[in-house]
Amino acid sequence: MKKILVRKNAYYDSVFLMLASKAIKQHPGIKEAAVVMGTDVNLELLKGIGLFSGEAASAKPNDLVIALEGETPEALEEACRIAEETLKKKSQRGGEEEAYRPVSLEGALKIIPEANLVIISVPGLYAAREARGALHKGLHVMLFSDHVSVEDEVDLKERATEKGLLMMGPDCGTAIINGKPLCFANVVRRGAIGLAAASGSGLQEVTCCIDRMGGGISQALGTGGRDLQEPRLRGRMMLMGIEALKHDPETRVIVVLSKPPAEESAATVLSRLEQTGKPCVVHFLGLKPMERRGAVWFSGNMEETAAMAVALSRGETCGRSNSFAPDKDLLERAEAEAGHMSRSQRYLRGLFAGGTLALEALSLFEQEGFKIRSNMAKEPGQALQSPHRSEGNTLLDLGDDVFTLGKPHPMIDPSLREERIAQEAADPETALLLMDVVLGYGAHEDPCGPLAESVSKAKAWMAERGGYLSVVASITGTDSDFQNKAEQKKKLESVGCLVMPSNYQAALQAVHIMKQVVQRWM
Amino acid sequence: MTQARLDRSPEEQVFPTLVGVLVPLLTGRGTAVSVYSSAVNVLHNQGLLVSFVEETRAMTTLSVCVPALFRNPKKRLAPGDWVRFEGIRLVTADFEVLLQGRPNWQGTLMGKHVKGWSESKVSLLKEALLKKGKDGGFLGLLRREKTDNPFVEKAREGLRHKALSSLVGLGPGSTPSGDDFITGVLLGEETLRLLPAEEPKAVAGNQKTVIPSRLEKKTLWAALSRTNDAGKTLLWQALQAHFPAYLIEMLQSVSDAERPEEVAMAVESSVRCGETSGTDALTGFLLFMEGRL
Repeated sequence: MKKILVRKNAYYDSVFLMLASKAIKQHPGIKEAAVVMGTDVNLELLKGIGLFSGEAASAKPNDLVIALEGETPEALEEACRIAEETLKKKSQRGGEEEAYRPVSLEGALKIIPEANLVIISVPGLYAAREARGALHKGLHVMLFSDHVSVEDEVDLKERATEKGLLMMGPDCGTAIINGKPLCFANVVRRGAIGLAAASGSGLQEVTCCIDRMGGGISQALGTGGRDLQEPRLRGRMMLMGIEALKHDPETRVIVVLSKPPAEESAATVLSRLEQTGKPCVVHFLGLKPMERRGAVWFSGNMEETAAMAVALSRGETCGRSNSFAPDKDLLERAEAEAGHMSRSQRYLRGLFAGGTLALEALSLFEQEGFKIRSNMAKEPGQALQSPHRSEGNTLLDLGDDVFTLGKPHPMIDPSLREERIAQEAADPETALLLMDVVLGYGAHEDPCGPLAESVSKAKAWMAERGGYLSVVASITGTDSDFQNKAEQKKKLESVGCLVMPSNYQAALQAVHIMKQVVQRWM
Repeated sequence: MTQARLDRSPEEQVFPTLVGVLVPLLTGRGTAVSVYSSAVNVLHNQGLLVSFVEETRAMTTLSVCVPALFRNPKKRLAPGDWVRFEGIRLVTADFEVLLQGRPNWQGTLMGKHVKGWSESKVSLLKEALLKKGKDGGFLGLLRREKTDNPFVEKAREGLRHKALSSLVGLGPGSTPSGDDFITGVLLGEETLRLLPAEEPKAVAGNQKTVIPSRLEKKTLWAALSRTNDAGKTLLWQALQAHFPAYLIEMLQSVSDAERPEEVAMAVESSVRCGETSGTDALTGFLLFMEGRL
């Protein structure tokens, strides 16, 4: 059953055509759809693939042709309605007068001359140049862009240090300055805990855990992921962040968060923390926590980091938490989940939107003796042959360039993860899906809505084959985020997803389930 | 018919930062056909699209870079508005864009753009494009295996018969993928022409079989009527060896690149152009440089 729409003299930009095409193709009951300009060769091709009818014969090269093949007349009608609506919206928008948007830093400064911080998000090739310009003007910089060379980063941070300016980034996605959330930050209560972190999603997770535990944030500074890892950078921005937090009167406790740092940078950071005179909590992801050094405590995971910082901010005793000891109910739940699975279901599939959240889960599984393949793996033996196909236990950072080039980040658009969930559900060896959901400014308006739908379908497919798909997740966010964590949680739980209070606890519960799975087929 | 006022005040005059070198050659009338946040397309009565653009990176030889147009709500064009082309200026009902004496954008490839080119860049470029390119257009041509994209298979068939012109107007996109692809091929031809005499064979293998002949160019000229205005405008320029700024920028960045990451960055920046335009043009360029056409 076919339907052809022709729009005369239609001038649309390519990105819009792609979005229209995607919207139509996603409609249930649509088997095939082509959105093309009505050139002779395109029309000939539509004929060749059977997507041609009388209406298309009148099309000219500047006409837009939407050719649809559907299962039912209703599906075709609905797809046509979507197409018409999308095109109408576009033509209405085209005529609108937009508010003035400055296109350069100079233009923006004319509107807000008192601004002292600039967020830069341009292609990596131009990012360093823009950041230099901003530093030259005496502005603090939050550099959201990635793909900036280490050489440029060293140069930018040297310039910033000389001028006493913050140079957060590159690839810095989250910060909270004087209570103002920037980029992908969450709505958290203000308080006495100041953070400096070389990790965006890590910063979100710790600040949200602090909020959940009743603590509050004074400042949260991002440094860029390489600041402590790359020896040439010598942790410059982390040191500057610590210095800023030391002098910030609101900050009574300092938290430092980073992926495993270079040895020399770590030593400098720890020594600088000891000199602040304030209690500090340090978490180096994937590293075993060290013994306390004076007023500097070390934590074993991100949730524990939050718990220690909150305790210190209240003047309470701070120690390693034992709240992660196996809980009887959760162990029973793990056993029950594994018990429903079929014999072919053997493997974990971790699908993460946040890089640091993925790394925390990966580290825990490795500590527990699981061999995990991942697109984050540093050892060649753990790398995937293709990130687009899981092998054995697989844990993915779906925010990696390999998945997001030309597509929105999975925190912004859940469709990338939805596709992967469907792919994993089709694999009879998939036993458990482990996922994160990140809320906050910049993130999708209802991430758990479409995710719940995908999980529900995936569980149904697995059940049809006589299996059971276990799904464990955590939500990084707060009830004050515009998406509302409690509402989001309900959506996931309604489809049988086990939602844990933190990323660490979700990973831990996944470990318990996978241990049961392993025992079953040993 | 609406007439322009002759007594323009300074507030009604706009000075572009850059003028495409072919714009002052056009006379006659045009109509604004599409208005975006950073570009306005005007269809000239010769069937070519002339664009007002906000950023120099979006320049072609048929564009005029007028940032002021996008910052001032009083100087806006809406679909259907007329524009008169007078050589030294472009006149609308509400304002005029003065072209005389403004810097020109030539859009031509020069020796400096390709001086660092070497054989190794072809494989680096290919590797980066396969990794970073956007699917949906003609990227599938770079992979040898059959695809389920009928446009790619049709293009493959055309190339097998050495009929580059059969790709004119073919494929998805407001500029059909085939037109972007051919532009990339022509860019490759121009690149080889500019390389020192001993270089081309080292780069493209068998030069004789890869450069489209003058005859094929004639066929391409003749095929322009088979595509839409956007495709025609692009090819009309490329057949005269004028290329969009983003492609020239990509070529220079790859030529100058000292490390594979720099090549990848240049590709990444190019493939952001359009939905698949950048990817399709680079695919054409690469297949030509590999001697596979």
